[in-house]
Amino acid sequence: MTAPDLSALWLTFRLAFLVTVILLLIATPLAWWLANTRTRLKPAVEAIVALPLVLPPTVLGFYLLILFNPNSAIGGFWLSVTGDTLSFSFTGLVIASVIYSLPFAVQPLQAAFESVAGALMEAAASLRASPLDAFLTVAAPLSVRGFLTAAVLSFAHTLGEFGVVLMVGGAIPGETRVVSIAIYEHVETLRYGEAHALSLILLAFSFFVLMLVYVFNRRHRVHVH
Amino acid sequence: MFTDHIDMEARRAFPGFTLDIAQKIPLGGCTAIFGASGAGKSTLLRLMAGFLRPDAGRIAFGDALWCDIGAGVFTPAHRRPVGYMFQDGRLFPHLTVEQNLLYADRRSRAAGASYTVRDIIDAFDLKPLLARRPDTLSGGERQRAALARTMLTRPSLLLLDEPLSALDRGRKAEIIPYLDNLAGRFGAPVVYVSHNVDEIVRVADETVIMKSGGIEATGATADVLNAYGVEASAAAFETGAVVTGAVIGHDEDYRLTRVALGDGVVSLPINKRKSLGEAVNIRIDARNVAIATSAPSDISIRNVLPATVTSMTRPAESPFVDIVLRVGGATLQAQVTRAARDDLKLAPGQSVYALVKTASFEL
Repeated sequence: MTAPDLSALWLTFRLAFLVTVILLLIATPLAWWLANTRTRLKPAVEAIVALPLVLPPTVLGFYLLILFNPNSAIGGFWLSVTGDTLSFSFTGLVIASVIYSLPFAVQPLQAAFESVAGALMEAAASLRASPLDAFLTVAAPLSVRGFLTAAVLSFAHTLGEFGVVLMVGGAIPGETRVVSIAIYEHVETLRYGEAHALSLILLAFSFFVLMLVYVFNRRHRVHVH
Repeated sequence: MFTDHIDMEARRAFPGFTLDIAQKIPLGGCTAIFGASGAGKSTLLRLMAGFLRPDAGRIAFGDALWCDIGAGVFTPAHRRPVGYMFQDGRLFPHLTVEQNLLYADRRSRAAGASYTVRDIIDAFDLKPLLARRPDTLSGGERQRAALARTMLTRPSLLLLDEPLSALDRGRKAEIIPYLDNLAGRFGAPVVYVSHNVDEIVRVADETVIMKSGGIEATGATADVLNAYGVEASAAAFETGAVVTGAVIGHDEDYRLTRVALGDGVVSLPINKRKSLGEAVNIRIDARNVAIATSAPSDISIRNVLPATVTSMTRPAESPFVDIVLRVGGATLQAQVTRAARDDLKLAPGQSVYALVKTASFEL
């Protein structure tokens, strides 16, 4: 395997890992809020979260490209604070991926939280647990599968991202040239051998991770009444 | 710490149902909240616990103001010194029974504990269950563990929401001894929600009757249940009477507790938690009372009470007559056929004997 391809692999895993961590931090409070709220805004928020599921990645990428442009408010602000542009940068890719994979983190967590939200949280409160205490000691442990599913889906979905990267990231080696872009380039230039190698790695890895999740879910059933 | 009432003045509207009460609810031993399904019993209890916020009103437990919507005061559930037991137990499924108990203990140890985890494990016979997970427990075991967990919050007020309603009769009988005299044993008044008369007769000193979101009556259990049951005869429970007698002895050989009632004695299945002289409520279903005009011999029924017929009513189209009897100071009801009434020539003022089978006493 060539050095640029190895660097693409490393970049992709770094991106997926970082995005997964950020997503879990954002999606946990958001999913908890969605599972507990009675506001009328809930369907609107749920729809926004789910948008990346149905939007063509190019549409999302297009809007992000415009937002990230140094002449726009957000892109300009970022440039003045960090001295870097958001478009065609690793940071921009991270932000884009977080948005793109948001539903894959929020939805499993929300489903897990909904099954423990009302009744068991009341029970915890009746035992003098504060809301945060109750979340950490009852809701979170009972939602392990939700967390695992959210993490794996976020990671895997970010690995497989293509359209959004193409729009906002381009193919800068070591910065935005992820595996899916590298495979695309190899195919375009008819270098099927390299394309095979990278594809096989992604295929094997994805299968292995999903297997682990299903095995874990079989062994670790938590019954919630 | 022991306050004698909770001051409730609360309104809470739901689609199709509004709870609206302004009442001092007496506390002391065990106060039952009784009423049909949908009367608002659980809503009332949830307001006390802080799981629900009233639309308007105030709730005060002695000197402690828990809620005053007008003044913007609302103490959240986890800061109220209240123990709450749920109908379905709600043990944490990811913890063992012991871990469930410790969860409560750890968060309330500072609250001046007069009893330890060990005391509670012994009091509720939980030793064999400690390592078990909730989903491996029977319904009765689950409720026993849940009650023990609730006690470990060291509550100043204990709220029990239909703790037996998810259990069948056999399981109920298993649990009910643990519910006897909780207030005396653990030093916290009890509010007990139920729609089952027999449970209330067994555990409650005072009873509050609820009907469609309001409070209908409050007072001593036997008085309230009789007034409510006799006068509002179309009401939630079958004809029958609740009488109060005094324990005069326990018969170990025959496994019976004897209770003086008027000029007679009634035998109950043994209940040694009741001490001599203690008052005990007994519910006697009208269908389980027979009438004889002379004291019968050669009969298996042991409870033969001298009584006087006070009145007789016959619902239209019914083969039965409802007869009200006076036994000492208490009132009893009997349901007999019209044919029996005519054969025995029963009439108001007549002296008779009321016969009740011990096996008919619930719980």
